[in-house]
Amino acid sequence: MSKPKYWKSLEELEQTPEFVEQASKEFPTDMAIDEVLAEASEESMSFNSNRRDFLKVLGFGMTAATLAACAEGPVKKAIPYVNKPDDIIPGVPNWYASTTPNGNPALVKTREGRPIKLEGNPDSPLTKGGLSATDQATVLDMYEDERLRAPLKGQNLVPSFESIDADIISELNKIKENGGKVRVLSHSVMSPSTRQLIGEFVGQFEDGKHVSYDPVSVSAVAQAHEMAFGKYAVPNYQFDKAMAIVSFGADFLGTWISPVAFASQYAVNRNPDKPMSRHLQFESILTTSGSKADLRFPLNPSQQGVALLNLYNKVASKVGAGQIPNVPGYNTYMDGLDIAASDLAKNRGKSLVISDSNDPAVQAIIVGINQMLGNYGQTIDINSPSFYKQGDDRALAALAQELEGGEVAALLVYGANPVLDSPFGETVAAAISNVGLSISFATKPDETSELCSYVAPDHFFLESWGDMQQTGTHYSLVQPTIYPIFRTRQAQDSLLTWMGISEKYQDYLKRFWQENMFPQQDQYLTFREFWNEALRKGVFMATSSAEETEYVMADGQLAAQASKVMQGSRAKTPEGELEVVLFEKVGIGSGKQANNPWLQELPDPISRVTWDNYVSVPVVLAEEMNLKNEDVVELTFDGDSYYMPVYIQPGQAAQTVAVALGYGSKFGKVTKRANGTAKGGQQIAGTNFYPAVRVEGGAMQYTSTGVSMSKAGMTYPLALTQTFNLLYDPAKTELLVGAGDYDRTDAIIEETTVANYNNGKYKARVQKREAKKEHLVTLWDSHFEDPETAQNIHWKMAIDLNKCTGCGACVVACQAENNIPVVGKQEVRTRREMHWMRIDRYYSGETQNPDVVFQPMLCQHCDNAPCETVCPVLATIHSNEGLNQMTYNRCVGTRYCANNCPYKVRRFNWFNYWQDTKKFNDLYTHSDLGKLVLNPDVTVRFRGVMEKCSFCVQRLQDSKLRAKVNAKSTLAKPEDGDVQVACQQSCPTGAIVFGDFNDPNSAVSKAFRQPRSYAVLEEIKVLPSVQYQALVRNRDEAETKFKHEEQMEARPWLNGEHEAEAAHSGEHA
Amino acid sequence: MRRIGFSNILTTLFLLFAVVAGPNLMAEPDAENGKSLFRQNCSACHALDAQRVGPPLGGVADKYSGDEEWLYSWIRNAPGMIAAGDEKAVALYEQYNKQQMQAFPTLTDDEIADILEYTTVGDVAETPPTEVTPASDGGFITDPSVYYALLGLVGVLVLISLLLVIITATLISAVRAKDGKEPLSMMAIANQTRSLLSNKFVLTAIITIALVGGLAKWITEARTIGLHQGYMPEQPIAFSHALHAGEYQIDCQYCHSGTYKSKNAWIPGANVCMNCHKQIQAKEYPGDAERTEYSREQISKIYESIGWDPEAFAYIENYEEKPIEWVRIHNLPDHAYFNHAQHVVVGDLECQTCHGPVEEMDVVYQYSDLGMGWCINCHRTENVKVLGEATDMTVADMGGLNCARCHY
Repeated sequence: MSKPKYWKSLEELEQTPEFVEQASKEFPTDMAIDEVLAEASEESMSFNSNRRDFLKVLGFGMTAATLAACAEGPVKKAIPYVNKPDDIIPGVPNWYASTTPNGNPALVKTREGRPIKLEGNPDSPLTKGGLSATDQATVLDMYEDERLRAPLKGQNLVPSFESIDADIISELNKIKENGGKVRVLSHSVMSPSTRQLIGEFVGQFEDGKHVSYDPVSVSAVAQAHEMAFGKYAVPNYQFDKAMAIVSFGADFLGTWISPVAFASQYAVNRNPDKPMSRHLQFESILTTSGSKADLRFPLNPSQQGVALLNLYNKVASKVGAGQIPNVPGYNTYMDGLDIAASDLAKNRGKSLVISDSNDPAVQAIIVGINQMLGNYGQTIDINSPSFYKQGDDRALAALAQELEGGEVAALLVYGANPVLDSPFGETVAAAISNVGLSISFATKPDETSELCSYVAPDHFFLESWGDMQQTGTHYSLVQPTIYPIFRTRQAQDSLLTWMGISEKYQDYLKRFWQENMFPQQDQYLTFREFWNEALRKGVFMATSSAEETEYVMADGQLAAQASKVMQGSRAKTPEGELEVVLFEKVGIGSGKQANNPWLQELPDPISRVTWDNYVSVPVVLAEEMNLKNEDVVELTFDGDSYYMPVYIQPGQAAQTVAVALGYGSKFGKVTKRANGTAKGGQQIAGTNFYPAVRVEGGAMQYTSTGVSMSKAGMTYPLALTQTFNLLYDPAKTELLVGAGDYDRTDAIIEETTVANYNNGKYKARVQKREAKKEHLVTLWDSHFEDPETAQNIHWKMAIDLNKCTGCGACVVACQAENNIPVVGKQEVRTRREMHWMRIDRYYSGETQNPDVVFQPMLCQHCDNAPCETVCPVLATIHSNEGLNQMTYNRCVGTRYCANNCPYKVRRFNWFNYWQDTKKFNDLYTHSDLGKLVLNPDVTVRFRGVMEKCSFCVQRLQDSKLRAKVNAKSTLAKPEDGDVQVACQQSCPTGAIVFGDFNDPNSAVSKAFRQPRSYAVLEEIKVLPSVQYQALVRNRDEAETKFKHEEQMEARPWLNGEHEAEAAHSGEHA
Repeated sequence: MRRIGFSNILTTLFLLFAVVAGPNLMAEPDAENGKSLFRQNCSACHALDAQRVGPPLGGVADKYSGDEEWLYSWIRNAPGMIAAGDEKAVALYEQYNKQQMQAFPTLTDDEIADILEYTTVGDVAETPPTEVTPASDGGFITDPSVYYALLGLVGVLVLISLLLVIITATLISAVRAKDGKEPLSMMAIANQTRSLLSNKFVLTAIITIALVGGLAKWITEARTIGLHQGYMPEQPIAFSHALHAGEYQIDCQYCHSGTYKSKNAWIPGANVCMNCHKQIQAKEYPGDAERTEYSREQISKIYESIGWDPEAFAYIENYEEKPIEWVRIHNLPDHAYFNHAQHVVVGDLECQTCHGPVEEMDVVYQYSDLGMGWCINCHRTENVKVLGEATDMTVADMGGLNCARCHY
């Protein structure tokens, strides 16, 4: 058994001098300050000062302060409601159930009539209270300054909808008389009532059609199921029932189809105290799913087909099914396909094979493998399919052709931006002017709406009525939580008006539910009761009434698909040739929310880059081409070339480069900031890559071969956070070592294998560690040995590393809850990002295929907090409930506390980010609209004070006060589970547990008693209130050993130390 | 303790007068009794001189003079007469939008006569109650700046006299020098003074006293920065808590209902005012038309805010509501969290503990300084009640001094 070494970046692994220099400093004030100053306008930031200036400023400051102290306070108005609505209690939030545009059920927190936060809806059996980072961030989208204030006619604002309705109706009537194609183009519409309404709308015309597509399409999955089951549908995958998961590139925990639902299901079988699922990932780029996989195998995209065919044959031979003939032999390194085949064969009916390929032939093979394993009806439900993505690439291609041919009389674009986010962007843009009537329902100007003759802006979802269908049986409702801010109208109401129907969509929706959903239940006798309850709960589970579908794909058909796969795939990428993958980032996604500053500043879970797009380059290639991070390269494929900054990504397949979709829109203040240009005006990071998506075999392809890359001789700065916040001195590599299966007390990361966890080796080492802990000493008395304080609540948190997928939902949840400012790319580069919670991503093992660990890191609320002892003004002190309190108004900004924090979780306000419009352009809090998102229960911090995680103390106080008010007694305490901190609430996998440690029956006490529970850097005995549960990988020792031997071969200079360590703990040698 | 009001004295006097003079007046209708009966029975729907639910009743006896019998029976049983189809009664009923007048079968003829007398005579002029002036501090100067001004004046005078002494001394010695005389011993005195002033010990003592005194003063003054005890701004409506909470004994939480549920006590919306002020369009100050009119003006501001038409006795349709912009008196800084429900429901505190005798305030002012020291002091010294039972615990014993209880 060997011990893994952990590293956060390649620079750290190589111990480059720049890295060592930089890491030794707490505040890198010298790092980019020159750049900052150079970029800031001369007048606003002149640092040239002399004694006279100093005295002037001093004198003025004192006078001003004196005068300010004498002045009367400003007169504040208290303006009550004229007619206070019964259900609004000022100061107390109201919660409404709704659904995010991504289709995830959510609860909306409103204060005095404005939504300020979204949380997952725990009543949904699909998402179980989880919500993704993008979902959470939608609340900020509502307060965007860019939103359209009123309808547009020919790009001019018109005062009301009445003034465009008449024109549109008359044009539609003309089409009805004369005939002509009417097309409604949208992304997947998850709302069943809207689908029906659009159907009715296009049904009025002789040739009317609703075309839906997805920017990142899974159309091939549906097409394959159409072949196999005669039903065009994406099936409902059930990861909670799968004990063996083999994914070919599909990032089901990050972006693929419905990641929130998948992550919550996946976590069910990742508990090592129960039988643990086994997850193998074959992928070209490192994804969050690949990071969580027990075994991961890099694979160039063009090899996926061959690999799959080989897997098919290997599984077939194990289960005794027929082989696909003429398949060229192929295996990944470490014989990954054999491992996969044996895992799958052992778990027939309890396994799942998925792929991110959008090639219908490849998906047909996937269907074949799953069918062979008997997974349909077990882990895959095709009868009650998934509705998250329903787009049909073939229909979009057909529409593009019709548009090109000038055949379309009317085009209505609903919730989509095809000019930007489809491969037919140019075609659509050129043809749209020939369309007689083009209408967009865009909520803010975009590439498509600027070409349309009318824009009828839709309500934002928080202002709308609606419904959503997630699967065949899972429905949810959308309800308005704020009065429409602008003169907008819900798209459905626009359609109804243009159809000449006076019914409001709200009534249409109710009628639709009365006709369709009400009969699917037997709990409520009247529709009124049913509706009210559905609206209160937000979700509705229908009794399954789906028709059974049969597997109808003949062997011959499968063989035909297999030969197609062989044509489109190859066993080896020729030496020197590169392939490209166009992928979705967890935060930016398809780019719909690219104008959201929270998401732009959210570090990518894997690369830890914020704000920019980059080309992700494998380590071997970077070494070959002598590339460094931030070098700009010219990337050429499919006849186009792009300039992109380089980010070197460990674990990426050797001949693959990757760029993210979703960037490059020219609309939106924030988006534009992420669209960098190099000196000389060359568009660099913000390129839109949708035009590079190929359309082949009726489906969009997100990979390409024949890519060439060359150095462009420029650099482009990236806001890369992976080297920030080291918890150890990189000069002492000893601390860099994780505990692995050793009994160290200085571990940051602990991991083990299922075998060692079960055979007692892990527990033995835990005992040894505990024994060592006895000798750790401290100067301080414990806060909680005093019997009086032991009666109090002691708030603690447990985080399960096994469940954390690094998705960043907690980071955005924390940002929304605690009014954490966005600081912008330049400040992030200067290591001044403000996130109270970050997710540290550690690599271990070889650079070409490292293991990955995600560790959410936040204030550990140490009982012997080192920050508290160094504060000269007692701005940070301990509460009798174990909180490390930060009192902003006492803080004078010495920053000693941050310097003394072993976990590097304290954040300093270098500027007044909220109001400083001189230095920071267009932060959302600079506009009156954007400020509406602020949480009124949390102070907005000013320049010069320190801040950090407070354990959401406003929530703790609120829950305590509610318990006291309800019991009318000051001694009442909240029950376990009454209070959920923001990060915990939204975690899709439930990795975070929080509660009162002094209650032995609380969930957090139980978590702390688990053998896997450990504190980070226990050796310094600061007694953190946050403990982590060790990561357990489901692989046997041989597999682990193999990986780490390879690591030692790759990095021989680590060997000497390794031996020394091995001698140190003899039993493992 | 409630002050014995001037009106009470008046009432007593009147009663005395009534006892003495009573027998002589018994035969005549009694307007004063009529007034109280009117208030009990009629004022919900009628005023003397204004349209409410029913018509104004001033001079109604004259209107029906010669038809008293009909008037008396109408007052006793209007619904009966309408039902019986009395011509006049039905006409009246139709005229006032089919608003039926209530029956008053218990009123005697004398009582009705009294009421009618009152409607004829109207409000007898009374001496208006004197303004309640805030109690003075018995002649002490409360404004500290006066002291500073005096001190400054004294200082300046001392300086001037010193200067004058020096100038005179210089002049005299100059004259003596010219005359060839010995310089005045005054110079010696001055020299002595100078040497005394240049004595290091004395100098240090003076400077130290000045510094220490100044610093102490400065610190005590600095502590009050941002505190606005006694802040008494003018409000958009001259709403009197003394009248509502004091005289009428309306419970604080009838209007400030948030105290039970929320951190905010909140100022009630105009809709809460309308619960009473639909009916009460003015506070009647008998004999002081100006004051009555003033109260009517104030109340009409509510109507203007919410869109109520007192003439038509109905809300105006599609009225654009105008919120009332009260001036906030109790301002806590943004970084301090305070919860009313916590203190009122759980802590069982009276509103007056922090807000002072609001029921005596015509214009509300900030009673406590609302500084952190004031909060902490109470948390340290006052014992908490648990479910109404007194305990020997203070809030501080339960962690009430932790920073993050109030600051986050």
